[in-house]
Amino acid sequence: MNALIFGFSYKYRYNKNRKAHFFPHDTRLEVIWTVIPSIVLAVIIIYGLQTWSEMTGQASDDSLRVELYSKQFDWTARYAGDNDEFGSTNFNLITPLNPLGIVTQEGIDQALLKIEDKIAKLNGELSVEKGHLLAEKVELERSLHPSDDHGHSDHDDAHHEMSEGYKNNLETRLSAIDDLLDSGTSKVMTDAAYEAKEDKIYRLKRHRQRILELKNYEVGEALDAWEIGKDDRIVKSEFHLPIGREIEFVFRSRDVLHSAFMPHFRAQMNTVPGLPTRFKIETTITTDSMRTILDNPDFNYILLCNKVCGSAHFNMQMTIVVETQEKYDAWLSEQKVYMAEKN
Amino acid sequence: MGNINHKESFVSKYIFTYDHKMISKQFLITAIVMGILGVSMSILFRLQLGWPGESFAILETFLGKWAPGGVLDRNAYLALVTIHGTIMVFFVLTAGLSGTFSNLLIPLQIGARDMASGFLNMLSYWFFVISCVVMVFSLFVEGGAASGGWTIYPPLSALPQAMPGSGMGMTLWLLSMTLFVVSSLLGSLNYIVTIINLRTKGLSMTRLPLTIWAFFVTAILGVLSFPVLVSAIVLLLMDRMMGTAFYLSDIFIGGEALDATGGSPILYQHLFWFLGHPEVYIVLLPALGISSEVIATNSRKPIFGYKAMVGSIIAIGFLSFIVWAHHMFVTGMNPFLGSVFVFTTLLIAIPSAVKAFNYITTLWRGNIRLTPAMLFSIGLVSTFVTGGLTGIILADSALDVTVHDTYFVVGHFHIVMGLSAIFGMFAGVYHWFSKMFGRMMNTKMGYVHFWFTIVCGYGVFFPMHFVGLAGAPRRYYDSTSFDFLDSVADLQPIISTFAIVGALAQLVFLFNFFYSIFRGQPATQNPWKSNTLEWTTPVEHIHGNWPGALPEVHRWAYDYSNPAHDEDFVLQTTPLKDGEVGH
Repeated sequence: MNALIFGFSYKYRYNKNRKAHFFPHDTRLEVIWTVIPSIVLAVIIIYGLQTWSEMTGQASDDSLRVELYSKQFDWTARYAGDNDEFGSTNFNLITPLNPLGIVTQEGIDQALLKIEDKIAKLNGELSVEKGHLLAEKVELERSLHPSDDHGHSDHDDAHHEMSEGYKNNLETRLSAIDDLLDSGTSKVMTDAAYEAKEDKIYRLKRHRQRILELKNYEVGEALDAWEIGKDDRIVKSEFHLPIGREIEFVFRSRDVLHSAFMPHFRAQMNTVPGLPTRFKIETTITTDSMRTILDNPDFNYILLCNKVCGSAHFNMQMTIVVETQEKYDAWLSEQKVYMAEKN
Repeated sequence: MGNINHKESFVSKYIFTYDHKMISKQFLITAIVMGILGVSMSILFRLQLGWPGESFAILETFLGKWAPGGVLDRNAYLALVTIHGTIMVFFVLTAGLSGTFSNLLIPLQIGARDMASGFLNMLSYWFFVISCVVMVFSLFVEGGAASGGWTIYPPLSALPQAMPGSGMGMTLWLLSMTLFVVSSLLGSLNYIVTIINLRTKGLSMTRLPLTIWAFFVTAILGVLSFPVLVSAIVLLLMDRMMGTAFYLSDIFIGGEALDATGGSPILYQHLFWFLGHPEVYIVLLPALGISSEVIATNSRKPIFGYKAMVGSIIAIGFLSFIVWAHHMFVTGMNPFLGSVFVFTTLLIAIPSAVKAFNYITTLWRGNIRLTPAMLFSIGLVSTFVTGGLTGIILADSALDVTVHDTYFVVGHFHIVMGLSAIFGMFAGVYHWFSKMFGRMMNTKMGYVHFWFTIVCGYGVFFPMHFVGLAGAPRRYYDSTSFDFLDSVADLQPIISTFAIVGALAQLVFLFNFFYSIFRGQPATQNPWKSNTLEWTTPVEHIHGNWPGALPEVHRWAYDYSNPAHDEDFVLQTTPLKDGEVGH
């Protein structure tokens, strides 16, 4: 086509003695170049859609399921334990010890504990804010000695009506504030910082509420649903696959969109927070054979992120090792079991 | 509209003008300024991509904290990539192309005194200016400009804690784009109304030049698709500022589980690409319209298959609305839905192929004057075909999975949409420069400009297909750590070199453009011996376009080398001879 474009442009270049061929349309020609692309495209569509439905079809029952989990800026792989099932997950349960948010009774308690800690810490910080302490002090002193400024009857009555116990409370609080102010543990915070912390506590309480809902959720007969995840195996930085198996990948994301891209397998799927995605592949060549084929002892299959996800997007990778079933089994048995260290 | 030739103040003549010819020039010059910015940004990140980590001391001098130690910062890199895309797609190729040539040519080629509403036309331009200013300003706010790629997918764009550019920069991006859409809608409505209502006597729709047909369909696409982008933007703003969850669900970020549940990031993508795909044709159709006119005029032949050309413009316009999800094959969208979009997307190749064949047949046995405008139009047909073929690969979901979001895609759309549209724009500028400024551009500089541009254009974007096939992801700040890309690593500095040379070649154009405005050879009334109505207006601009009555049209726009006439062109205003069959 390009040859025709530039060829014609050269061949028929301007000559003032010539007049161009008046050729406004020709139905036969136009039908030809409408029909031919249509046929070609029909063939492409049919072949393409066949392959597409093979790629995206249901995985067979004996396929190996591997979960790939993305976050800024790394990947985590998860393999089901002996029960051959993934434990369910919930993003509210994510903690450093439970990076995938696997739902177990222990996981829930641990996440709650973590949140209580955070709330307590923030409350502690707020309770020593100097400005608020001083304001409270003024308020307390006014309640205890209201007559100092005004010296008249109404206030005196109120003062006299104050119960001893209440008055004691106020005085205790007042001396506690004085201690805090004297000891130097009080801190000055801007209004914005103070409000941000208050806001954070509010959000943490919402978070706690969601976990409590999960905790109190009536699982009924499926009570063991929260046991399933206990033996899941969690893998970082490198994951292995057995040769000659159909592999079904399930993708989840913690924060933003990422894309699981395995250039050597010609496979790619976005990972979407809140929406598990999937595709399947079949492993055909082990890493070792590929090293021999390419004559490159350092060759490795690789998993990349291919959806821009932040500043370290370009460096979010995981090595894939394809090996024999025996080696794979041996490798898997060495991997960390999620709940093992806590039992 | 009897107000021909009255005195005007400087402000009403050059700034808040209602005159479509002046507004056209305003759009063109603003787009050139934005184009310079957009291209400069691409050079900055091509330096990093061509020579990763290499220190260019000059960068630190100019960019300061964006390039500490002369190496582009990784966040600045993403911001530049994002703003480059936004500027080029929207500000240069949408507003610059349609704004310039729809404004200039619609009234002139249909024989109207001006646009239907001069006031809306002026508003359209000034909304565009404000939106440009906001976009450029966003580069300098805390956290930098929007950095999630020009498609700004949430949750990355919805969560300020996800990356620095998702803070104030993103808010300004959204504001700027909203203003841009207002500008685009005002312009498009005006174009549609003008074309329908203000055609001069005898100018039926079937006699319209293809430029006008292309602008007409483009404007309809804009009116139908841009509002959807605004809805996407409004929902995103609400997610950012009001705690809604249209696009957010189950997110744990910055050590915190967010409240948002039930939203879907994929919803945003559907809304975005419902604009985003027609947008490709909003950019491309005006360029194809311009090249149809330029190729016919300079081949001294009628455009081949006028009715098929009109039909394929309409078909492309219609189909462009039902192909959007081919950008989303790997988002986790239902694969069956993917299949449907494979089908509709490949359908669009048929009218595109018809157009390409018709262009080539128009060249066949023509009497071709290789003016710079003609060269750029021919270049456009070339890039349109080349980029179209790689498009077929991307349209096929099974193949797309392997190259999605790699340099293959970058190469594809830069050729088919970037180069083609910018070639159309250059062709238009060279062709109608005399109509805009009353002088001619220098032809020799035009040749130099063309050959450098097309060679460098292909030099930049063709090798990218190989880089992409090897598996190199786009928007990577540095991919040297990946062994599997070693085989194509050498291509990156070559690409960058072509990019720099190609950008420098644009200086020839800029010089030619501004020099010719003031010192160019004075133009004659119809320098290209063209048939269309704009060449019956005087060289000197007057408000109202024609000094006397409006011209009357007796024939179609493409009677070139008609054997019934001695001259090789026949103005549309020439009455039919006795016995001549009109079109």
